[in-house]
Amino acid sequence: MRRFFKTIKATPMLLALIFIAFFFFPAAIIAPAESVSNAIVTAIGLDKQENEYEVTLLTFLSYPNQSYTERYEIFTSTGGTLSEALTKAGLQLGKAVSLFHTHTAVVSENLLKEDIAPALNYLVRVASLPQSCILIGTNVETKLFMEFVKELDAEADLNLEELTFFNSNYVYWNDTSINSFLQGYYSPTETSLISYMPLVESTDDGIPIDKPLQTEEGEQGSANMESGGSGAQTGGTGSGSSGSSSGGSQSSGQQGGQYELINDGNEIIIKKGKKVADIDRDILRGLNWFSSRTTGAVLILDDVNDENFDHAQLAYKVNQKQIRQHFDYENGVPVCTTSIRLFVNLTEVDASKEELKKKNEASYISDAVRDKIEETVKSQISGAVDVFVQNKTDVLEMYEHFYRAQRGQTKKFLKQIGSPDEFLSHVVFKVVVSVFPN
Amino acid sequence: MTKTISSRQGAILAALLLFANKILVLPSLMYESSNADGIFILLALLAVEMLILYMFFKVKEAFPYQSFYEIIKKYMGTIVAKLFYVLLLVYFFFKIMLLFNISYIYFHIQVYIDVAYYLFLFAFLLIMTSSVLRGLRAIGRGLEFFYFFIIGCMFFIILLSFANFDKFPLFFDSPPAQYFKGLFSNLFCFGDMLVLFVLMDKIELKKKDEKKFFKYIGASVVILILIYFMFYSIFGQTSFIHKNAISDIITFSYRFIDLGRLDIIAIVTVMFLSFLQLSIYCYALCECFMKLFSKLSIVYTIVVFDAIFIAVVASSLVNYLTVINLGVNVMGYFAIVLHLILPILVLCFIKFSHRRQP
Repeated sequence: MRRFFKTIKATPMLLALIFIAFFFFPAAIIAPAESVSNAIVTAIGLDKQENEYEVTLLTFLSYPNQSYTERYEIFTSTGGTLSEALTKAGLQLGKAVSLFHTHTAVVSENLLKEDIAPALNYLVRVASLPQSCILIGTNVETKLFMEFVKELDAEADLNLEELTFFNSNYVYWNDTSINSFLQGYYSPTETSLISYMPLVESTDDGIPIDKPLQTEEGEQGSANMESGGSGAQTGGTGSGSSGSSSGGSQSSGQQGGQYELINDGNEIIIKKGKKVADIDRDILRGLNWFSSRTTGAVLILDDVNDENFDHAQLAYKVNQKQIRQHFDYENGVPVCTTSIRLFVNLTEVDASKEELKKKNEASYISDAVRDKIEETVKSQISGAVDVFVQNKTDVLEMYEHFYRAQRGQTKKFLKQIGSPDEFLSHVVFKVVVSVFPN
Repeated sequence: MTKTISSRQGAILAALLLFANKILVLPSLMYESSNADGIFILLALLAVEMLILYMFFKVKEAFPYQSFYEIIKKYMGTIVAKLFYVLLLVYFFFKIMLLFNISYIYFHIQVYIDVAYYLFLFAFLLIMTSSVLRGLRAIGRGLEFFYFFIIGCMFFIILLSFANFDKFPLFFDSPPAQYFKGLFSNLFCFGDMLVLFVLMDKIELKKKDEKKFFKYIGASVVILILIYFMFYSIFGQTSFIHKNAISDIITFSYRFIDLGRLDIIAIVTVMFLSFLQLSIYCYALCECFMKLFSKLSIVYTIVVFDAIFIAVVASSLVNYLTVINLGVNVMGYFAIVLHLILPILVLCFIKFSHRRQP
């Protein structure tokens, strides 16, 4: 013992180690696993029903099992505020709701009728929702959407995260994360774009699942079991767990709707946090010509007449594009000159047998084709700009671009027009398209 | 000699101390006061740091073996020396409180959301206490050991953040009054080179070693500027939301979703930095304390510090919000006073030392 004290005296850091060993190690060993005390939410749905927030959580639950399948459950809760709804969800789960690993946030059109920024602000600043989380709008209740997503994952191994990740990288003009939304929201024009994925009943255009799903009207306590006073509801995977949404609906014998997810690159324009308009794939194509981010677009040229083709339909794939923009004032009017260099490949030819024999190499291009491509690009851009001007939504961030490039003149011009909202309608777009074989 | 550190260790100490309180919440606070022009406030305040460093070299050159306390005492008397050291003592105490609270909130949010405040208190206090007891040389060796790891991680973080680069920050968009307001409210987070004066007699410094200091500190300055630049370019108008700059610049992007939580690099870096910076501040504070109460040994000094620190934290007098409010509103005046007194004192000493030369 004496030797021990001598050692301690000579090396006081040992005392620190003993202190740690006594106080911290036992606590760490006794403490339950994080997965026991925390529910890992991979997607969150936000909705509003009769002045109450409805939060739906797609939650990963770690149960020991002998298969390699991941188990997800859906939990829904309501509250006057989001914090109340999340607290109720926590009670329902018997775990703390952890949003650290949430990749997708889904908002319903109901909620998009009002400013969604305060809700997202709360989730990001207080509830630790990552800002890299992709924001998606949908036409149905988020609860139903989440059920669909869960089933889609179970049936086809297609998850929302992968779909949105692909869209954000290859389809959309910008990334549609919460951060991107908030940047647009706090910009002078207060405009953002978010992804839009509607659920529709039985078309052949969407991604289907085999299982019918219940809507709010049809469920009445069977699809999602209401849990008394808390107002919280649970659903499940349908794999035998209690509170399973699909299991409940089947046992009650009700007919559910057959839904399909439409993922064709549509987006929603959000202004001041509210939905203003939908933009479809055609408008998005026009918008994408202003960004070198998205490649792989296909240009379909009808009625091509040149030295090799007569009334042929040609499809060109854009492999690469280089965009240069110049912002200047001409006679006091803002002019945006966009130079687009396209590197294309001929991918598909719909022409006569003789014509196909003559010219079908990938690098084929003629003056007539160049003119057609230029015409198509310009008409797509014009279509997109018209929509944004009509809605007074400066999605192209023209005001900011001009402010950066010509600050003094933009300030003067703003005084004339009154508001940044009006700016886009005064911008003259000049587009120069150069096409090269790739 | 055993209590001294080499010029290289001194340079690393200064270089790592330059990151204190500047890489987490400060970029966001600067954006709130003066938008992306916060980067110019950073440059201005870094220039102040360089001026303090230059003054340190001048004093060290004139008085190579004396402590700063001895020099003040010699030329201005014991009362002025004690008064100046009381100011430094309070200054370092609030610096520790600020750094401790900012680090705590960072780790609380990023890693240990369920862990109690007191656990952090004891973990940090243990390291500060043991570092002070082991002495400056042990701290110096620790600094040398972790330096390249920390700097390497910082560069890696900046490199990763380039993947999220969006657009050039919008500069010169704030009225001039905002600059001055920003300079004042953020001044307390700077002035880290004051530590060098307190440790003056414990750093072995030859004339040619000044370059070494500028080399190491230059690397820190470049890293700081790059972090602020990337932060403002990535977040733009939403910079005010992001309170953990160094982590946020690499984690916000959906591009990294599949790679998992990359901020582990930032977490480890901040962890080592916080421990080292708190140890240095604590050592400087104890030095001030021992100069004021010369009969107290280092053990009693650190025990007094620990007791006061625990009492302040336990009484909830100072927490994250109050310490930031104090730093922005009150400690700015304190920093101005110290940053003004120091050049005046330095000028006086150099004048006196020249007069004494035959």
